[in-house]
Amino acid sequence: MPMTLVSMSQSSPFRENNRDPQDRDLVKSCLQGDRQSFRILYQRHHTVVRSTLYQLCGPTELDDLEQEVFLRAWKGLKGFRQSAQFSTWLYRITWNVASDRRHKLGQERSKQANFVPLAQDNSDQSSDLNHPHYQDMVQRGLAQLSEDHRSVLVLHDLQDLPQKEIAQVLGIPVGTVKSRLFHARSTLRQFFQQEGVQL
Amino acid sequence: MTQFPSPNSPDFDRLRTFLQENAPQAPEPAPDLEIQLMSAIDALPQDQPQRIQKRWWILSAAIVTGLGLLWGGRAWQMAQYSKPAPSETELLALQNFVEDTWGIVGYVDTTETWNTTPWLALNHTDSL
Repeated sequence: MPMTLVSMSQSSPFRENNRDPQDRDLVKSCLQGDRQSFRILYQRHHTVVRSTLYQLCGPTELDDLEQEVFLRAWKGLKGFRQSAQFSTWLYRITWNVASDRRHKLGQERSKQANFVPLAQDNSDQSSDLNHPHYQDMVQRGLAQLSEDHRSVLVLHDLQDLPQKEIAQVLGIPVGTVKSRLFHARSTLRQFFQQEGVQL
Repeated sequence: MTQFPSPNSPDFDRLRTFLQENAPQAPEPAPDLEIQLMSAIDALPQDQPQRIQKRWWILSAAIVTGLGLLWGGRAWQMAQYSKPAPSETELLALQNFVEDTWGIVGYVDTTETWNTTPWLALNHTDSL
């Protein structure tokens, strides 16, 4: 029987960590060689980076990918424009790392298999009998989407980024963000309906 | 032009809520991931991320110095090997030479030209 779910969204990790003036100060300290400031930046943002990477790439080599994001950030700090938001810039790096990873997987022809173990991992982690089922379904739904559609949907609906910022992260017009978001949501809703969840 | 619904459209509210409530949670990172990251950063050259800027300054200064030395060396070499200015006597001799040979240079011998030689004349072709 189809189920209907109605509840309000929770606050996003991005907004909880949105402390840009402090981020800028930390970046300035980093540019003067203060690695401790970079450690604080890592502690502040790594959860969101990890979550985004997971939703885009799955669990394989997640630690390595997370480390790669922050290493690229450290190396690229000199090119960071102080007028930009550090979090937006970090999302951009995260998306680049995820994109590189998926292209590499595509070349190895193992992209499809990459998402299969995720549901098994989740079902082992939670004691709730229904929740892992939905998590598995969401993950399989995300896997149905193209890379472009999934990126927009993850950043907008799961990470709660505004469309304008997504456009900056992905380097595409806002209209394209809207279009991709619409198609991604339509595809997902159709997928959930097929799975017996009416939204 | 296609109009897409607002991102906060009620059409997609429940979908978005469902996604956020059931978003798969990333597995916990390795306990020492932060330490590994900071070690990896420590392993980078000490001047990251600023050394590259210093390197550019050093490179620029080296290029400017090199060009200066090259120019200075060339000027010094020119000064060493260039001939001294001609004396009054030499200038006078040169002037005399030009005056004496001016008419010779402008002289054109019109008594015989190459196209009058019989072997090139067109009227000789019949006999060939």
